[in-house]
Amino acid sequence: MAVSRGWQTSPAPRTASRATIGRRARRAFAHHAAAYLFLLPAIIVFALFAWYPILKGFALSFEHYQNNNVGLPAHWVGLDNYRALFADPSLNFGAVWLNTLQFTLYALALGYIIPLGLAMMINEIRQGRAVFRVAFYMPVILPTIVSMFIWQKALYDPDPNGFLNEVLGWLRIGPQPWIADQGQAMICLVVAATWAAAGGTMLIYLAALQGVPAHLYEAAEMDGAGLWRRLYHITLPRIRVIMLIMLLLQIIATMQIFTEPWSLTGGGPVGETTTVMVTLYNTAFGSNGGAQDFGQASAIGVLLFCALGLFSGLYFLVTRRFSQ
Amino acid sequence: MIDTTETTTSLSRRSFVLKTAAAGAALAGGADLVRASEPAQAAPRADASTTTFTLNDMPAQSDKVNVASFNATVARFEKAHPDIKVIGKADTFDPTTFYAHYAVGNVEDTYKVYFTDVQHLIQIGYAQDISAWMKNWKWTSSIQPSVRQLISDASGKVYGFPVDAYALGLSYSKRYFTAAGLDPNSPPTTWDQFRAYAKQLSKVGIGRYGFAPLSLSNTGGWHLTAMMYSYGGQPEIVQGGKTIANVNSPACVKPLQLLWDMRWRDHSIGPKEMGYNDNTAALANGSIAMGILAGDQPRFFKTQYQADINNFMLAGLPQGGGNATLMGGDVQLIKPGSSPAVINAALEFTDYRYWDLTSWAASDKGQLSSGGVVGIPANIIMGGSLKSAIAAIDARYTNVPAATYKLFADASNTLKLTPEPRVLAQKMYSLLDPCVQAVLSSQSSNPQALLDDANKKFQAVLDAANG
Repeated sequence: MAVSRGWQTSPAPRTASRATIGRRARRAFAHHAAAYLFLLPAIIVFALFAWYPILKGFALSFEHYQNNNVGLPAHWVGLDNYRALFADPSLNFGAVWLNTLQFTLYALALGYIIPLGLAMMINEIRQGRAVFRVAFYMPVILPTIVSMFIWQKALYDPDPNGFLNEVLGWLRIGPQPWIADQGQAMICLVVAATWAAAGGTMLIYLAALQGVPAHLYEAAEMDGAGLWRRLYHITLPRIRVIMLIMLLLQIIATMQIFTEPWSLTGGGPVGETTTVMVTLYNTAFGSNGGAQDFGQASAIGVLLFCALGLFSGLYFLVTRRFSQ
Repeated sequence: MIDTTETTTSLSRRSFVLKTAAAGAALAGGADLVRASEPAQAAPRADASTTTFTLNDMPAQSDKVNVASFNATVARFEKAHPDIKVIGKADTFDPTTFYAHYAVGNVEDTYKVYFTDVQHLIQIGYAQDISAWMKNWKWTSSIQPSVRQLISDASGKVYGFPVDAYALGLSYSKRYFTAAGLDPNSPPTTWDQFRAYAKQLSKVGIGRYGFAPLSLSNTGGWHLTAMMYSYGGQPEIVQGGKTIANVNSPACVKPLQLLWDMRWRDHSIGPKEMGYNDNTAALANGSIAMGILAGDQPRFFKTQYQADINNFMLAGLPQGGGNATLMGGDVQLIKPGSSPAVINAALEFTDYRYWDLTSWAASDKGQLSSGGVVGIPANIIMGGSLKSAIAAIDARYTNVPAATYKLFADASNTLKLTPEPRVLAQKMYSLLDPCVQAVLSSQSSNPQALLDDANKKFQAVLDAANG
């Protein structure tokens, strides 16, 4: 029967029978069966080692193991774990979040600009690019604990003959307490953490820069564009998407920082470098006087997850226009 | 006509991929079937009559002398007990990581733990009941009563095997004293003298300080508590069956005020934060003149830092009216659920290692031959006849001049050896650590305010624990 749409007519849509739908589904499955089979091991591994722990963590944030003994059953305690986080004065939960945000801001100020700058400089070099790539990447190869140990024992030694204080001495500047000082500890942590990680980010930016067609720069040079104009009108627009992604990933990574503050300062002095993840660790395992409570620690994890999830959602909404 | 070439090709390709995937799965499963049908790979053949157990307090590999002594002790024990095998691990108890290890089952069969954690570990079920074995132990009556209380639960069941106890004292460098014009045989006995000495000692050289307090990983709270005892302070008191926080009482504030004065008025303390044994290393390398050490730590001057042990004297902790010092120590616990054979083997070895008199003598001889230290009265956990017997053996092998530690030995007999706080001591230490860190790092810090805040936090913890 024809359906009237004004001056046009078109045949009525055919509704498929159940048998037809089944046949199509089986054909689609057969078509993709191989892909599913290859994906299956990865799905199983992710399910066991990623999704299940995440779901378990959520559930555990509402539960409590007696004596923190995972051999005993956990019982439901509702929102008690969350309340305890804000009610325990020894936890300084608010200050911990502020420390984390402070670290993130400082780390972005240093750790976002420096790798980009390094990548741009290396990209401009014609000879010996590989040497600089290796040199800047080498700190990334060192295990984080080793890097922090070097900074703690050698560079940040507050004695007058500590490495950095020795250098300051040549400049006629008095010795500094570095990580022993509440005012300097956070900056010291950011510098050490940036040094350890900048090389990896630099490589990513370098790869993105090398994807920018050379003829664009040549054309711009012929038109008389200087370095900064080429940078602003060609380079940045071309790598904009990578920059936006890296910014988001960096914010997520810095909010979850643990190894660096744990091994460099232990979270001190006086809790100045105690971040959310350091608190989570202390709470889970009872170190530094933590509650030794997996439920409370899971609650911290859930709160961090929610904060980062909310931030990521807002981020994508705001930057949707720029990444198109 | 419909061109089937592409279709045929794509079907073949799909078919090939499908068959490959299926073949891969079959191979994987078939391999398992094949493995299952093969005779099981021979695991290393364990003798059914040999009991093997692991322990956590083997000395670190860097401490060659004590590692050699430990290995020799194990060799002698295994020769006498061919049915027992001892596996030592250098996994020293650390309250900041032990509970994590235990939670995932990554602890040894027997673990030496601090006094501060024994009661807590017993309460949360991390220790095996060993009452029956201890009842038959020949030296049970020599255990100091305060230690006996520590290793038992409220009903009197025994869970811990006491192995050592130390008292905190003052270690100082003779050379440093001489360089500062001070008499090495007259160390400070009061905190006022101590402060004056430190000020004079810190003038010896740039970057060299008279004293360095500990402040990291709960050690700041640990030493501060000892200083509180010496001032007559009690950081926690029991009232009406409940434990009350008392770290901000006048006697407890005095030591922190002393540290502040030394740091910011006298400049006899530096900014560096230190953890356990960092001050021993600093004493050994000459960057500080005095440090608070436990009686068993001076041996590290020789065994770990290759310093001249004769240069270091050990005296009693200076006093501020309390006539006391802190006594801490270690207790050996057994992992719950261990088999009777493992429990027996672990306790037999621990007894042999720490309290067998023949082994003690052999260990002293071994220490001498491998460059160790013998003679400092470090272990004060036992009294009575065992203590006398051990002292007699040590006297035969001592290689440290008695004058080096005489003042400490005298102080151990005259000062009140006060055990570490019984309730949530490590938690209290962790709350006192930031107070010491604040004093070291900030001139505007106020010791009274810092301890008021710590007291409030500790009281909240105690209230939660008291229910």
